[in-house]
Amino acid sequence: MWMNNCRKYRADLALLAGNDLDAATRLEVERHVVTCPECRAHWQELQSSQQALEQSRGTAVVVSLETSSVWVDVQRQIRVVDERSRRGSWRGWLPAVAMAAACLAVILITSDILRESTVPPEFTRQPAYSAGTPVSFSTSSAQPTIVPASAEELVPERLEDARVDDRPRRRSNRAERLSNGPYRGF
Amino acid sequence: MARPHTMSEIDTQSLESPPPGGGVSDARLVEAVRKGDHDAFGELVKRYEGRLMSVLLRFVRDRELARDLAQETFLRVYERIEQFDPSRRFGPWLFRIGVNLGLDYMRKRKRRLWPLLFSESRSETPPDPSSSDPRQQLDLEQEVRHVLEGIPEHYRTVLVLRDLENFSTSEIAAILNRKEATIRWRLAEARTKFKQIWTRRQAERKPGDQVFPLPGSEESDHDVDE
Ligand SMILES: [Zn+2]
Repeated sequence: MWMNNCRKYRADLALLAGNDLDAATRLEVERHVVTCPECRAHWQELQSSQQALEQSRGTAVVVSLETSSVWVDVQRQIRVVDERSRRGSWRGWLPAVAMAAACLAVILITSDILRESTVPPEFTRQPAYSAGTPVSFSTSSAQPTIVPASAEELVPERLEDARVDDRPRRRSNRAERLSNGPYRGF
Repeated sequence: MARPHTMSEIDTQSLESPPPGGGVSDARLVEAVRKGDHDAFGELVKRYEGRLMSVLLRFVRDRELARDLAQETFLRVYERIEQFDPSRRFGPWLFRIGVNLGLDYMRKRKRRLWPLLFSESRSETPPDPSSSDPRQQLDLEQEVRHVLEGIPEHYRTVLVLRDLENFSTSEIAAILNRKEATIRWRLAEARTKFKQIWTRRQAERKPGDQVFPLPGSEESDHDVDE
């Protein structure tokens, strides 16, 4: 009977030791301790260990912001983050366009090979993914003028983007950052 | 802005905003950061770096490492600033990221870092003039550190944040993302466990060589002059 009571009071005493108990509960606990030698002994030990713990906090750590603020380093790193976010804003449609560009690049390369080879165009199989945009290899339209320009624009963009992402950062978890990093529009 | 902060000064600073000296609230600064204001983020960094470093120093052994972790914390905060719920307090959210980084780091270096709970950097700092004997203080810190080693991590973390870093239980609840009742229960358990180990170790010591209460004797076994 009293054992159960004591168990409840032991938790309260631990809280009381660090002044983490409300006044009403405190009164109740104190009343019990007066009448219970076991809890009284427990309380005395708690006071002693708690005092040791609190006194061990250590001497003041002086953080001189003048000499050691992390802001300079953080500022440099968040610029990289911003840069990546700006690039990230293209990511919504980039895969589709990149795929199209890649297809066109393949076609162009193929057409170069074809022009240099003796194989007649009608015997070459067109890539399945270009089915919707039949490409003629007749002399006039062999190289659609718009294609090389956009292919050149997109590919370096992607490479550079990857390079920024791969830049090593001290003790960073890049994979997690990439998966968690939200898009920011600034 | 660029004045030195001491721990005692920071200790008394709550995680509420705005800071005691007045000025712009955390919420306002966060809002500005979201609009692309780097200076506002700089203000938040300077506002919290001292306290964050102090907490991280409880987890890792050296100042440089704590600094790296602090830097990483701020970077993650910046990257996730859109995910922050402005109706909540910014401080605990920041410390949650920092404490998790510290804990992750420790788990990777399991058994090697908690013994160094009190970093060398702390010990190197000049002793508090109000404490009578720096050797006794270091002895006490070492002994407490050994006792903390014997406490499971989720109790120990609460104990460190409450009794060494002076966060309130509601702040710890916010930092660890648990209910305050859970934190209070863990705190009670942690203090009780600490007491058990502490009392046993004290009893095992030679009479007159107890670390605490400080008897004023010079009979320590430990060479703590360093
Ligand atoms: Zn009792």
